[in-house]
Amino acid sequence: MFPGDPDPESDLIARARSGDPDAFAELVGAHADRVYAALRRFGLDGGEAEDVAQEVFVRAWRGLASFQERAQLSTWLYRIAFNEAQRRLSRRGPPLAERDSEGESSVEAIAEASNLGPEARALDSEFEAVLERALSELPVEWRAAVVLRDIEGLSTEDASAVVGVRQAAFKSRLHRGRMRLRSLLEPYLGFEAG
Amino acid sequence: MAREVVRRVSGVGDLEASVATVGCPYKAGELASRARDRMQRHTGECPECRGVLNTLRRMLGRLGVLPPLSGAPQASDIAAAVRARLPEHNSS
Repeated sequence: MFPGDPDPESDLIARARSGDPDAFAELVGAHADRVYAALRRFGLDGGEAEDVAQEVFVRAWRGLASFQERAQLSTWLYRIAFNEAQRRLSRRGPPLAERDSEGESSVEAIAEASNLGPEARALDSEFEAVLERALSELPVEWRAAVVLRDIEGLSTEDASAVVGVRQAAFKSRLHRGRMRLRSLLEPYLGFEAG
Repeated sequence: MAREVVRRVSGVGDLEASVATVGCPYKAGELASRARDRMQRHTGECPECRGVLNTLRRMLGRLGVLPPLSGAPQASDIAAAVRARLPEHNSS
């Protein structure tokens, strides 16, 4: 794209706003991966995330008139996704205990069940599995902060707007989430240091 | 323990959320420069806090490059499913 060229996303948004569902479907295709991944990491399982991702986009279609173009479309979609995920999670009732009856976290349990030695723990795919599991053990609000800021790469301003809290409150959640995650991952991060 | 260490190092309650980003290339500039200087001075002398920050830095680096989740549907499939739920375009 050259300076002065129209932004292709803005063009698609304009067409979608005028009622063109094919233009909107192109926008969905461009953002679906990130919305789905965020929903999973907010705490939904695969089937739920797929259903809710569709719902997010249908809601976005219906609400296009209220979308402020000075905001990023992705940030707006994250906001709808976060709200839909919270709605879905709230129907589940109280979360399962983070530790099993023997006091072992599921992150520790992964390592034990897989009989992973330190070398196996250092493998990227194994580490990513442990990281995803550790993330899922964070309280919902802390997890959302880490997902939006550190995985999805939103600014603090945008991420706090997505979850609907002031920046100071968001930073507090983010800090707590990061520190808990670091604590859960410490054995693996330590080994990686070599 | 680690949280207490970092909290003590920062000495600024509100800024502690940013302490975890010290030295992280993805979040450069988030911490106010005075607090960052203070932190850097301290971690130069304190192996415990240096260890905490090193593991935080490493963790944030990994979070920023996580690959797509396994079992994720194709974006085109989601787009097709959504498209099927939308009305036809009435351009007249």
